[in-house]
Parts: sequence; C-alpha cells; structure tokens
Amino acid sequence: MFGSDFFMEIIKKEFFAEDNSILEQAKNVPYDDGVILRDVSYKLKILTDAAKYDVACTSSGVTRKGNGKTMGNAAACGICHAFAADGRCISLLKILMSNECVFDCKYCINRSSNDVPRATFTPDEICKLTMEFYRRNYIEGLFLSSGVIKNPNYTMELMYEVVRRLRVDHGFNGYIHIKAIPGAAQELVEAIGYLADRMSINLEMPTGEGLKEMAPHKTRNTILKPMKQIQTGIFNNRLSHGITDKKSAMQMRNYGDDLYESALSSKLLAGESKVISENRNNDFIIGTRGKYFVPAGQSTQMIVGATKESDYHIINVAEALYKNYDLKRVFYSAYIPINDDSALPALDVKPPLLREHRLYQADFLLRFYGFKASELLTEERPFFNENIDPKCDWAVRHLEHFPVEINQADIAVLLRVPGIGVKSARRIVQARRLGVIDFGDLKKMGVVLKRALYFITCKGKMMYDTKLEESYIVNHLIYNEPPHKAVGQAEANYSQMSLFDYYGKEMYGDNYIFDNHFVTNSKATMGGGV
Amino acid sequence: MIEYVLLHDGTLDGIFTAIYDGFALKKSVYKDKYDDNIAVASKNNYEAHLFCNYIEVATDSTKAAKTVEYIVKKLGMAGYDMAMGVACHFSEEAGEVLFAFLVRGFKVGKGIINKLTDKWVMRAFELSRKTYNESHLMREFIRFSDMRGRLYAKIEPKCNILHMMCNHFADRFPGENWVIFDATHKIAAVHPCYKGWFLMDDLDVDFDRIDEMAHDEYVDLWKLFVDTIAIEERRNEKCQNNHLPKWYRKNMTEWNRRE
Ligand code: SF4
Repeated sequence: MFGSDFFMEIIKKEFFAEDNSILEQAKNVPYDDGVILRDVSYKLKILTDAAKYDVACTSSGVTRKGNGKTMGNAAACGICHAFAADGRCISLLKILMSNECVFDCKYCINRSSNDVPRATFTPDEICKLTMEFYRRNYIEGLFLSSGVIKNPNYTMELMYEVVRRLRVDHGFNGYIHIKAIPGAAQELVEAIGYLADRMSINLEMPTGEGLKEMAPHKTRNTILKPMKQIQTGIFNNRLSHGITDKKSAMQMRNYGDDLYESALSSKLLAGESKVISENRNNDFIIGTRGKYFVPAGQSTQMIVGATKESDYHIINVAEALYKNYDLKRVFYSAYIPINDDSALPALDVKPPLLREHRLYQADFLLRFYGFKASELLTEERPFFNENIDPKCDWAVRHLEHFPVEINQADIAVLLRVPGIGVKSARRIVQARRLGVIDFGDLKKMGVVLKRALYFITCKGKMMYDTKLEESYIVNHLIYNEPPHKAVGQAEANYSQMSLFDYYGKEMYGDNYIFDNHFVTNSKATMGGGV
Repeated sequence: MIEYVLLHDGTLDGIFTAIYDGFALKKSVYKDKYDDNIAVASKNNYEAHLFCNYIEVATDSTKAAKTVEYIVKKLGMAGYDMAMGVACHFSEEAGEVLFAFLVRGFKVGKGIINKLTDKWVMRAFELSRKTYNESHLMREFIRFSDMRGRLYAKIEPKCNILHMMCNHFADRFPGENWVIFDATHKIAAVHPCYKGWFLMDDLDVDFDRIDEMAHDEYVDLWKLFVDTIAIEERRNEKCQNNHLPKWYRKNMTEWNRRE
C-alpha cells in the first residue's frame, strides 16, 4: 500500500538495526564542510550572550507555504519552539554576527570601550547553524543583528551575504529577521529587504537627546531615515501586490522560484561582492528582482529606564511610530545595568520589569483597543500606576462612561471595559444577536469577571452590589478581594501581586509580549483580557 | 445507557470501521427507539461493564473510507475535523462521545458544530479542542535528531496526533528523510525525501539503541544557545513552566541532560 519499498528497507536497516557495524559507522562520520564546530561553539556562546538583550524574537507576520523543493515555510501567527529560563519564548536563532563593535553606546555590553571577549561569525557558519537548527525543529529561522565592524556599510554587506547565501545557495524558505545598522547605505537596506521577512532598526532611546547622551555614534536621523525607507518600500510593495490595507499579514506565493531565477545572476556577482565599496550603484541584482519587500513588516525597540524619559514620552513616541511609520511592533526593554557609567543607573539598580510590563499593556491598548496615548497619560501625570494596569487605571478615572450594558454597548465601548479582551468583545457581539447575555455566559466567553464586574451590567443589573466609586474599585482591584467580602486594606496583601500574576496567563489571556505562543487562531487571541 | 460497545484496534481505520458497524447495528437493533445505547472503544483502553455487550470489530479500510466520506458529506470539513479531534483523544469516554456526536450530526447536518447547548456536542467540542491543542504544541516542541543525514524524532503524546502533524513537516522539510516515532501509540510516520509521508503501525522500537546511534553534535550547540540566551536578571521559572508544560519536556533536546 505504501510503496517506496526502497525507503522501507532503509528504515528497517537503519532504525531497527541488528547489525552493530552500522552503530559504529554512525559514530565515526566526520564533518567535512569546512565549518569547524568547535569554533562555532566558542563564537555561539559569545554572540548569543551579546544578543540576548534584544527583545523581539517573534516569527510572525507572514504566511509562506513550502515550495516542495527546499527547506522551510512560515506561519503568520508565528511558532514558538522553546522557553528560556527567563520565561521568554525562543522562536528564532537570535545572535549577533559580530560583537567587535567600533561604536561606543554607553548602555551596551559590546561597546568598544568594554573589555569583553569578542568574536565574529563567518557567513557560512551562520548559514550552517541556521539550517541545522531549523531542520531539527529548534527554531523558526534567524534573527541576525550585529555590532559595527569597521563601519556600518561593511557590516551590512556581510549581513547581506549571510541572507543571500541562506536564501539562494541553501534555498532557505523559513523566517529571517534582520536588524539594520544605523548609518548603512540605502542600497544595502533595500537589497536585504527583498530577502528578509522582517527588518527592524532600534530606536534605542525615546528622545533624540537621550540618544545623543547614550550613543555618541548614532543620531536620530541615521535611525529614522532607514525606518522611513523600509516603510515606503513595504507600502509600495504591498500596493504592487494589490494590498491596500496596512495591517493584514502577507500571504506569499512562488517565493522560492523567484529566488532561483535570480540565483544565477547572483552567483555571477558573488566574486565581485566581496568588494566593499561605499558607493556601489546597482549591484544587488536579487534585491531589485525580488517580489516581496519585508513582507512581515518592521519593528523597533526602546530601552526603558536608562535615561530620564517618562512613560508619557515613551508611549507618545510609540504612538507616533505606529501612526507615521506603520510599525508592526514596538518592543520595550527594561534596562539591565551592565556597564559602570556615571551617565547610567548604578549597577545594583534592578531592571524596571513592572514598568516595562505596563508599557506593553499600554501598547496593546494603542494597537487593539482604540486608545490614544493622550488618554492614558498626560504631562502632569507622566507615569503609569504601579498597582493597577493602564486600562483599569483609565476606567476608574472615567467612571462617567460606566456601567456599560453588555447587551447593547458598541464594540468600541466594550473594548474599553477592563477584563474584556478583543476576542471576548467579538464573542459578545456575536452571541447577543442570538439571545440575551447574562454574567454566567460572559465567563465562558473569556471575560475576566473579577475585573469587569465593577464596570458592567447585564440586563440592566450589576453582578454584585458594588459601588461605582474610584477608591472603592481601586482597592478591590489591587487587593483582589471578592467584592461581596470586606475590603482588606492590610499592606501585607500586596504580596498577592507577584510578578507572576502579571505574566500569568490567567490575567492576560494569552501573551502580550511575544505575539506568538500558544496562539491557534492568531490575531483574535492577542492580549486576551487586558 | 450503553448496551453495545464496539471494540476496535485503536488505529484510525479501526475507529472508523467501528463507527460504520455501530451505525449498522443501530439500524438493525434499535430502529427509531435509539437512546445513546452504542459506543465505540479501543480494545486496549476500556473498562468492562457487566451489562454491556462487547463486539470486536475487524478493521476494514473500505468501511473506514466510506465512513469518512459520509462524515465529510454530512458534517462538512469543520464537522469532520471535530469528529477527528474526538476520535484521537485518549480518554475512555471519547468513543462514546464520538458516536453520540455523529448520531446528532447526521440528523442536524453542518450546523452541528455550533450546537454547543447539547451536552454531547459540547463535550465533543472540548475533547477535540484538547486534541488539537496537543497537536499544536507538539508541532512546536518536537525535536529531531540527525542520524547520518536522516532525521528522527520521538514523541509521547497523550492523544493520537501524529498524523495531524505530518503535513506541516512534509511541507517544511520536503527534501529530508524523516521519521517520527510515537512511543505512546507505537506508530511511526515516515517521510522519504521528495515523497509523500505514510504511517507504520505495530512497531516495537528499542529507543535506547536509537539514542545510542544518534550522535548529533548540534545537540550541544542548541543547549548552549538555550542556556546563554536567558537573561539572569530576568529569571522567571514560573513563567517558563506556564508556557512550557513539564509534560512535553521529556523528549525535548534541551531538557535532556543525562550526562
Ligand atoms: S552599535 Fe552600539 S548598541 Fe550596537 S553593538 Fe555597538 S555599542 Fe552596542
């Protein structure tokens, strides 16, 4: 029935072998492709360690079926493969190409003035690691960033070479995220953009002054210019595929074929591409022939807590980035003191994880819940409340909008109710077409009642006899008391809110930091019940 | 009250043969007086009751194919997927739920999947969701080892989900020879490079021996990567446990640290 007798023979022989000589052979097969694993191992340790502070590790935003010939495919919802001891998801091989950096950004472990072990991967080593990790199902692809070797263009040319070899020589069809180096030539950004799925360029500091203070070799301009270039490239490319909206995930077709056609011309180029020139014109032939430009979109990252900027600053910047640069994601990274520097927080300052967490929550409110940054914070009130999340915080300060009747309220209004997420709001709207909703039904729809109950009515009734009063609700929310019991004001109760609660699935439905774990039907589940 | 249980061999063909025979029995014994009296079960996984008749079913792939075709025709693809999810769930009640779900489905048609007010349909929905969840997670957490150019993986899923994962990997690794062993169900999926995949059953595999054979240098590199990528200042095991249930770890390369 199964055919392929030949392969059956192989299976029998190799996997159920009686013959010990096969065992012996298996142990003695040498690797002979020029990549020496001992070197790779040494470099991998240094260059993973150097890359770990970068936040984004998602593999989302693009769907690409396999091409039937070479390895790889991609799923828009992203796939997560492992979890590190810090609880962060591992989806991509996140490494630096090199940490032999000539820049001296104060906050960075790899700055030129630090005395740390240095290493640089060759393009072949990176290709090998990516391909071999991928085929063992360890990863979804590669996330490559780098310190600046010699100068930005030299670095980006090497990175281009990595992606070119992966896509063309190895036919790799999985996910690739490339970090652009500030100050690199436009042509390089463009050429890489036609081979990568996602590109990002780190904003680093929320304000230009902060950046100047912290990163003497970078300017706001060298960051925003490529960001704009990538945005325009994506926009035009999507138009050329007939896609006019800015949000939907790209469905790619015939990706591989396209690259093979151009493989030949790139091979011709290969000899020449070793030449590092500041002003090459149109050498990146694959680039201009590629069909898809950064199909999974663009993201960026800001460091939180290294400089003085407030949350107000940060979310306003994030809002501007979403609006004016069409970014897919803005990531926030709590500054971890690694360098002893008078311009930076002292070494014993704990990373502001809670603050980072609040920013992610606010970020979700901006992207999926129809909030504006100006509604969440103001110049007079520039920081988020440590004790309650930004949505609750907004709600208790705007009690005039509540209570909301579940059976009537507009979806935009439902989305503003604490405890109701995007998915549950949609379910409510669907379900009430068929009948009247009561509190019991809400729970099944994924509403987090213990937060929502202060703000809603079903059939005109509140769930319990609660007061629509700021301090009353805040106390209940913070101390997590059931509303029909006495309010426990004891300070000790604060410990109930461990960080785990923030990260727990129960409070936030799915995941809000990394848009890709456990997500079976992608978008709808994001941000559960913020 | 269950009066007849049709026992199959636990394979997918077996399950759908039992369904086929079950409906024939329903027609001949109960006519229109049927009141959820029939269930199917795996002969390796059922609890015997005193007043129940047990009938062993001979697996017949023609009957199975007919059943599948009929389910797709009556319940649509979504309904079929749900039935498949139930059929592959490990629990003892799955056979009873599946049969009850199909009895209702054949009456109602495609709309059955939304009829969650019926307790059997609700239960079918829950079971099938669990099955698909496991299959989804397994797709993320399964690890292959290289054995002289061929890929080999071992999984121990609770549900019978091996066949649900294979299209994904066939699409992803078309040019690889790969084998996935499901040690729970003693079956394997085999994918010869550039060909379609197929299942093999009734396997007895000496896994220790295979582990010994698989001498894969990338295992150490991967462990090194996973250890190094974590930020010590952010260590959060609860969060890690929350995302990666311990159950899945035993066959994951990075959790396997015997040496
Ligand atoms: S450019 Fe700045 S942030 Fe990047 S590696 Fe070099 S020192 Fe670090």
